Amino acid sequence: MHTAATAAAPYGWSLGLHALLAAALLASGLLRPQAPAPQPVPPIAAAIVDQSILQAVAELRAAERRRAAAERGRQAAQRAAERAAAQAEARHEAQRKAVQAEARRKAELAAQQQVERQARLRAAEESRRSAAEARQRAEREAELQARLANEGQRTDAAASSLRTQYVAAIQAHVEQRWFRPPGLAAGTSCTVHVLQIPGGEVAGLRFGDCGGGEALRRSIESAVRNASPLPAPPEPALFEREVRLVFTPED
Amino acid sequence: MERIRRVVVALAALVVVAPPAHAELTVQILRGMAEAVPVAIVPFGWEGSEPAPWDVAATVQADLERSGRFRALPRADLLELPHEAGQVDAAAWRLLQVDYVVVGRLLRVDSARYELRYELVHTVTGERILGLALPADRAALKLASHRISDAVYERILGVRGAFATRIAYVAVDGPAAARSFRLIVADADGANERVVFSSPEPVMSPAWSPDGRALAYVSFHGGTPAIYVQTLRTGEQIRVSARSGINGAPAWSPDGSQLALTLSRRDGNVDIWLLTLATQELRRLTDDPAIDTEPAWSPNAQALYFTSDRAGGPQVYRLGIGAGERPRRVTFEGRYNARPRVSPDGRELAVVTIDRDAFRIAVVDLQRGTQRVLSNGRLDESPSYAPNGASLIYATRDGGRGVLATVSTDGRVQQRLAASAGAVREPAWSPYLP
Repeated sequence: MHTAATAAAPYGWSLGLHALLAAALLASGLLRPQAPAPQPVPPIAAAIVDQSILQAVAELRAAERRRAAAERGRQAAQRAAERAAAQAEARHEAQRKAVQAEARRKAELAAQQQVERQARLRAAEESRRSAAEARQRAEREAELQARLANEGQRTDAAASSLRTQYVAAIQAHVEQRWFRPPGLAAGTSCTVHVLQIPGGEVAGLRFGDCGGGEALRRSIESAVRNASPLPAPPEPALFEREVRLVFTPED
Repeated sequence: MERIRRVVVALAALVVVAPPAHAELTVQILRGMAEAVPVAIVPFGWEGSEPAPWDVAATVQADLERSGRFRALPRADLLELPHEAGQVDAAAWRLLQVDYVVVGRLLRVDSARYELRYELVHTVTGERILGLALPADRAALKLASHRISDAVYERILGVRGAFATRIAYVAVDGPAAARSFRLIVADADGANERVVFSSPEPVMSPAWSPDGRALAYVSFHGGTPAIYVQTLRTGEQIRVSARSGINGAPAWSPDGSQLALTLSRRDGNVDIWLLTLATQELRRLTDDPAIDTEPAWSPNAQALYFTSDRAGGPQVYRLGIGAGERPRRVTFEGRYNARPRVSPDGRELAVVTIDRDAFRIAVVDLQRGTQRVLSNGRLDESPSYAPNGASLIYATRDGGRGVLATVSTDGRVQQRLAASAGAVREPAWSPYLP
């Protein structure tokens, strides 16, 4: 706003000056002394005109002409003044209009600028906000991703823990039914692949690497067959048709 | 049709044998929790007007149960009494939760001779995994029954049974002023006690010859200690060492040609010596001012383990038999480890140790140097391995009286052996007998 006021100041001065000029012009026209009104002239009746009369008539006519001229001059001046005044007025009006227009323009400009500024501000604000939002969104996204990942891990962990439970259940179930033959060499290990059907029933078994003798194999086969049905998994998805049992007797 | 079935079988085999498409569920089995293998010993068939001369099944059942490694279905719970494998309904026995069934017949060959036919069925697979016939005269029916126990034990556990073996021990009877010492040989289950030698003077340290035909022992019946070798069948007794001072702790070399002994000779320095029986040649093995005694051979005859107090308290040392070898200490846990006996596989040493202020039987792992206490008495002594290494016999106290006990080398099964009378001590488990 301050900028607009400062810009309007010179126009104010110009306005005052023109007003003074117009006043002076008007005053000069109005203060001019008025000429005496002309006498009415009798019509010419005699053919013979006295020279003095002729003189008097001529003087009268001259006075009339001067008076008419003066009147014409006065009227002209008045018209000029009026014209000047009108012109001044027009100029003034134009000036005023121009000023107004300028002011309006300025105002409009200012308004425009204001609008633009606000728009820019809004835009800036908008972009700032959208940036913030984007950032927040990104953060949220990241957080979500992290949480998802976390949850994924938790799910994995949960699944893995359930799997561990399942493995432990099978282990306990088979161990309770395994009579470990005596005299196994340290480090003896025997792998058996057990095929189970849903429900845990042992459908078959096959030995993999087996470091023990026939008695160990027989003890393992007895344990596995006697362990049928194997325990159910804590979640059906964990069920495996084939289970690998690694018999590694510990002291 | 046959071809189709074969294809189906092949496919089924593929299903079982095909490697898993994804991560297989792997389960580690670390401990056998089952206490004992469930078995059924069906009374043997007998076709005779008179009662059967021997209850073979009862002997086998008692043997297997005494080992602690088998749980036999009580006779009253037997639903069927098959006498041959073909009659065994494996599925029915599985319903009774029996993994193995022993069936058989006792047949009379002539007035004095019998035959024991027996079979072992694995009910889990329906497989007949053992089928044998044993001849026996009437007096050997019990021994033959123990042999069936041995074979069943071995077939199921992978370790030879030691039911048809014997034990030797010293029984002390009578008041302090009039004591009698008897050297006794009995069946591994404590039955059939037979006095081999008796004396009013102390009898000590019986040791089985590797062939199971003779015992070496220390007797004071000549007034001073001497070492004798006595053949069991004939009762013939030979004095093999009566040197001045101590003659003690005989130990047969694995080939039976030599005895490791403890001698003090004239200088009174107690050391280990090696006596060649055929030539009476004597060779000094240790020479240390401390007491070296109680030698025991490693099964491969390459080393002797013995007790020495050269480091202060008694500890066990190993001495290689080769020339120039020096004794190396092998026991380090506790202040007292003595009277070593080497396990049949040579991997372990049974010793008497002090455990929480009590004398107890411990086993030392010779590779790892670890030691585990197996017995829980207060005055346990004289451990001796069964020839299969599955258990140890030792002397302990029961109400102040010396009795014999066995413990499985995994520490799980403990048994007391009833003795007829008096106090018994220094048991020695025989090798496998012919």
